[in-house]
Amino acid sequence: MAYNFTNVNVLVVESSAEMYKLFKSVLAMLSVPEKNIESAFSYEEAFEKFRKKKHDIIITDWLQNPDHGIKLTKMIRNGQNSPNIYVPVIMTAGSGHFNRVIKARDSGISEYLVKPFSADSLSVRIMRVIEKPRPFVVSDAYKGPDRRVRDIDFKGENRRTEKYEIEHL
Amino acid sequence: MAKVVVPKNALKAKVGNGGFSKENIDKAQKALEQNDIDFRPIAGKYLDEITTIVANHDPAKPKETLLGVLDPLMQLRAQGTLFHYPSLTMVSDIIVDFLDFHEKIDDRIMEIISAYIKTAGLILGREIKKAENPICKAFASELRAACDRYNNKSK
Repeated sequence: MAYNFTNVNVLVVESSAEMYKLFKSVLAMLSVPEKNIESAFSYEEAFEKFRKKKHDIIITDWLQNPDHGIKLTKMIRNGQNSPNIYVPVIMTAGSGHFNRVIKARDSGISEYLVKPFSADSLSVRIMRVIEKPRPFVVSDAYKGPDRRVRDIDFKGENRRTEKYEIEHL
Repeated sequence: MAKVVVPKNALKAKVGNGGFSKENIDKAQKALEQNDIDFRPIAGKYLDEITTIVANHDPAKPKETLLGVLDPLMQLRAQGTLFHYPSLTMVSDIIVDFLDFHEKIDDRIMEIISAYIKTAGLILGREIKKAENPICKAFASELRAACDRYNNKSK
């Protein structure tokens, strides 16, 4: 038995109709019903559609001008009008440069996918947001998945004076 | 104070168990590889955009110009291979990688970008799709050498 996407809505935010068409065909082959896949071509359109439909997964390009994908992610995570600040956001971009990945991570993305991508790499990102969603950190400075993805044995002094409050929803 | 929230995994509840079947992943990869989208008009649009930004470059705003050209360059890098032009991804990769390490544009970088525009235009014009094509390899090598020369002089 495999995943059942019958009740899952996916919003694909892309820079062009051709890229959206490509994503749609790949997602359809991964068993996401075509009627559940919606397009948006700007951060404004994407946020408006997300507000109305409350998609379960958002796949957004970095987008131009110069980084509207980042803006969209921040609106989803911080916006007062965001219908679900915890929605998984998979960001795609034509560069995996360290600074770019850090910028995306700090905006609150769940996963980062460098394009050109393979079907396998996309399915791995989707599986991660399903099977291993990271807890959310909510603070004045940052709202989004915990940015620490690895457990490192830290031997230094613990300078953190406050304990995190953990809330299970 | 920061708070850690563990949201309900609504997505998992909807999709259930089992992951993706290998068969579906293979089918998806096939869909990716066998798309029949003509990339040349799309790439042409991005190249025009870069050309316009370069032509309208304001020396007082070198950072803005850099960010402006990086966007369409990233799209060309991303989409080249997806739309059967790994050649274009290869040469775009060189320039994106180079520009990602710089914060602003100067005259020498502008020359390198202009060389890239010519190279990408030739690749599209001659419909050179494979990255292994000797002409494409020669273009890539020239471009990489220009980027290396700039980086070495800047050290």
